[in-house]
Amino acid sequence: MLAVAVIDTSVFVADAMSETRAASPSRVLRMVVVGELRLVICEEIKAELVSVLAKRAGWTPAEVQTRFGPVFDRASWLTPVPEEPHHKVAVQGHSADTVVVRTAEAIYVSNRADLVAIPAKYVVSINTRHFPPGATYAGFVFTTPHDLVAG
Amino acid sequence: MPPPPDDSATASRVQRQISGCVYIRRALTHRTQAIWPSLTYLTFGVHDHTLALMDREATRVFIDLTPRERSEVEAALPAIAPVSGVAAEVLQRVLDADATGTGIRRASRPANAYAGIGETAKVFCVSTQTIRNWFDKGLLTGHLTPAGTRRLLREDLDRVADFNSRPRPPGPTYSDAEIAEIIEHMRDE
Repeated sequence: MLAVAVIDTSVFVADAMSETRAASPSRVLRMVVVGELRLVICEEIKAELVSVLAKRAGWTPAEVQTRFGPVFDRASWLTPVPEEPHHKVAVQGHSADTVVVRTAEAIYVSNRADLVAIPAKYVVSINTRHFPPGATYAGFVFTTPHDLVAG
Repeated sequence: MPPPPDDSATASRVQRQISGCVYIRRALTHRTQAIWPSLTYLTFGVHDHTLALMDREATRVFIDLTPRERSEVEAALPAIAPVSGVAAEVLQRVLDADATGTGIRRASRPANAYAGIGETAKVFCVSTQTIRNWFDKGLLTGHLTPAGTRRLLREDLDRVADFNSRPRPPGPTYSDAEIAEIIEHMRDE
């Protein structure tokens, strides 16, 4: 597919806490591991993941790293751009979610021409209220894991 | 004059060929016939069927043209452009396709460096049909073997198998909707 994707915490959490590994969130992460999706991520998203899994499932940070290490190793780690009012608008007013679109925008200010040049760009989230499928921000199309890898 | 060809049969044959990842040389043969002045009876209906299929497949299938194929496409373009703008557009897309982009590449390693669809499906925890669909949609980048089948590099598959084998600590499990709620509430706290 060769697409750029910012993957919301919810997708990682779904992989970690789903009843099956055949679900679409896990499929998306396999696409990252195999190199079909170029993951863009930031430390804030990882920190949120560690926090959620610690609180909801009792995972330690080391266990998070063990599970998602192959995904993190394949990722491009960027610093999100500073928050501005339009970021909140892009995520339906939910300020805690702006880190996702700010990380997406970071590819344009981080000398990552390799990522910018890839036409297909996605923000992948399970949360369709904050990331309405089909909406766009900075060239990134909001989509769900299911829609992205529907077979 | 020979009888006109059966459009549907020809289109079906072309579809099978393209679905089987036939390289552009063969597709070009059809086009060359279609624009050959003495063979214009090869109707544009057939031609259009071919182009419709090509348009769907081109940017995925033909990203690593050999120098010979590239020269064939470049040579064909000026002749085809006056006949069919669509054909010219498709061929230009083929020429413009980024070799580093999404697409099916030729297998360049020994056969055992590649995994078949069955093995790929098992590692991805999906059906073989899903893997075929992913190849067709470009969700998976295949490598075309000399036999014309698409396969995945085994080293890529091994990475996925390693990811699958990573332990998940025991804990509660949730549906996607429940997980979305968990995330939303965590962020709102």
